Amino acid sequence: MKNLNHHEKIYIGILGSLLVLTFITVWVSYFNFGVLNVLVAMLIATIKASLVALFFMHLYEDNRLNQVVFISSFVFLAIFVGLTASDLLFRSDPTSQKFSKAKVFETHVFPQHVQNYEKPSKDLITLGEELYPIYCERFLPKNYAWPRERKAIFELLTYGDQPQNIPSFSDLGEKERWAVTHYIFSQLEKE
Amino acid sequence: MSQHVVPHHFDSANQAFEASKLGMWLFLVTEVLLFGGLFVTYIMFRGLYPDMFHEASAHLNRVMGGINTVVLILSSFTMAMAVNFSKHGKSKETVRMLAITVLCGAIFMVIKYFEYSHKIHEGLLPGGHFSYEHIAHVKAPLFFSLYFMMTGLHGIHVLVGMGLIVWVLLRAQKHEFSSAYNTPVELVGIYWHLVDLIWIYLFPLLYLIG
Repeated sequence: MKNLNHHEKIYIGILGSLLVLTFITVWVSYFNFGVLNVLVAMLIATIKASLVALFFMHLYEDNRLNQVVFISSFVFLAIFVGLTASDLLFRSDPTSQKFSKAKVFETHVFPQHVQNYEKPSKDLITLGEELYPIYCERFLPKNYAWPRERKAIFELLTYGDQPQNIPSFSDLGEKERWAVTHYIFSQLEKE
Repeated sequence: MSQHVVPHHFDSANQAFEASKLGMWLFLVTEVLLFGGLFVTYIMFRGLYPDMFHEASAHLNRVMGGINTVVLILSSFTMAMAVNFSKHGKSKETVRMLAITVLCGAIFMVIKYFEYSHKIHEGLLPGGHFSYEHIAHVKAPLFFSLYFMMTGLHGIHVLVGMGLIVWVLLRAQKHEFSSAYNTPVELVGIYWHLVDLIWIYLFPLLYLIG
């Protein structure tokens, strides 16, 4: 050990610290701190990353320009995360995904009291006719044997049909799936 | 021993080295932002579906992920040692350390291969291939999309890094590096440490959602 130079001793110290910290990360992941779980994990990861950057990558003794350049990447990453989060996480219902299709729906404003989409209406069929080619047509086989019942069609659109390789359209809202259901049913009636 | 010639548009060997290193750091900034896109996606979807991430994460193999973490940290250490030896013109020690580093990279990829083939076999490959039925949440394929994209992009970086290390290893064998010139070893080293640094975040984010 005594013929090691200054740097080599530091590297061995860092290696030891990183292995201990890895062990600690795995160990703490078996405890439940609730919301703090991810913060604890990220704190430890950031300590490890700092050790790697400062000593293995020599950022500690590097010139100021390189330090600023590398740290700037994390500043930009923080802006990236911050602005995206400020948009997405403050939406009234971010998991409903209706917002991504807002343009189509703007043209079909329904009165607030209409909650029951199970009953076919002209408006719903028109909406379904517009949605069907955009979101559904390419996923459905040409002569698909649809069930002859609205409720069953709706469930099929919601859960998909694994054996027939038809995906779930659950990323469409409930109203939209009913609209497509009524449109499909109206086409079946015509046949 | 072949002598490295400083390009004529630089004043000194040190200036040439510093310019190359600045270029490498700038490249690493683009790398951080490249992975950053995936990390942002991860953060947003974990914020939206915390329970799904929790459930899906349990289907990853912690032991394999943990071994891979240790292997990469070890390889980072041997890489740092190799850079240090090359600076002192110790070619034999440099080659030995680089060889261990490549070996660690290879072990990492082999373990990754076993993990991937097991996941694909179970039907966890996302998109139209997803056929796993033991996770109730409808959005579970999302977690595995992120898993394959993040570890896949990282894996490509490991492979590129291994290629670069073999390249400097061959040059070190010809005694090309000394205190006067070891830029390639230094820069490949910095790159390899970034690959380690990214894995340090991937491991707890994907495998250890407790």
